Amino acid sequence: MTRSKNRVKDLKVLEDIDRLIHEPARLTILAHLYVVESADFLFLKHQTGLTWGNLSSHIGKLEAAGYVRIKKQFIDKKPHTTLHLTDEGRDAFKGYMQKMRQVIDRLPR
Amino acid sequence: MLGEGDIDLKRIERKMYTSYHQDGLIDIWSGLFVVFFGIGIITEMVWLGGVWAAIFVAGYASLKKSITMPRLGYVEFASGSKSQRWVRLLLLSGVLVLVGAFVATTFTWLFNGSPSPIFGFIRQNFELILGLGGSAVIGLVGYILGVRRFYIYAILGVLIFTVGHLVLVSLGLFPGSSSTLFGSSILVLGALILAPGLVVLLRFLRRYPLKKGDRLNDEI
Repeated sequence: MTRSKNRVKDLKVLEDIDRLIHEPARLTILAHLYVVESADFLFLKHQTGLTWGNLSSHIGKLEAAGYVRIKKQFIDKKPHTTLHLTDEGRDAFKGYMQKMRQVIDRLPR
Repeated sequence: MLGEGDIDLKRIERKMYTSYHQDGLIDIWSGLFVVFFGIGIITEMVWLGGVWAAIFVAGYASLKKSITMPRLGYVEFASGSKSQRWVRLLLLSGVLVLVGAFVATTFTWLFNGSPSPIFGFIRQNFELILGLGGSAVIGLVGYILGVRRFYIYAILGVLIFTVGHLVLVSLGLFPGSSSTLFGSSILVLGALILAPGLVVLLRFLRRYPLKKGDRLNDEI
């Protein structure tokens, strides 16, 4: 009885998982942005192995959710776009990681 | 791409940091500094190393901007945790204080003379101590930058200066009597840092050629 209750509790954690982050490409982007202050599209493209189209589309979704901020600036008179993780994005990613860790820790060995 | 089971943030950070330094520029620049310092010792114009150090700061940043950034992209790394910053700052200060104290004491003794046996020991092994100190600084640069190749350069430095010292002793020469041999040891170390740097740079240029499509980065 207690075991099945625990299982239901485990599944509850899974229900709360942020599906926007759970998508592998977006998860990869967020993980890379989490460990730096900022990066541009080209650097992220090389690091994540995503295509321009894919990267641009996923970044758009993350920006719409308020997880990523796109900053356009001029460096040496050339336009340059950098990406930052917002505080909200940072908290969401941290929360996602904690929940996933809980689920993985409870897996039978 | 990552799956949720294999997110190792430390590994990702390390991979990103390493890839940003896989252009070989730091090796080439450091190798040239060591080479110039060696030439300076041989020609007794040690200031050459200082001149290169001044060029280093301005040149490195602009080369990074013109070679690395257009190919690999731009990234700004977090400056590390507070404790990491403290450890690095303390290490760097410690080494600088030690080097400063060593140089100041040695020169004071050289000019004023001292009967101290320590002075005799330093005079006997001056080049070895300087070489080992330099190798330690190279290792420290590797630690601060997170570039592990520099640990190998530091080990090579220890080997080269130790062998150089043993050669002098076995030839019955008084260590310190041959600035050419000491300078040559530094030149060899410089070349050993410079050569892998050039190979790494060539590999980097081949791996990340300039592509027209990458201009998209500016237009998004």
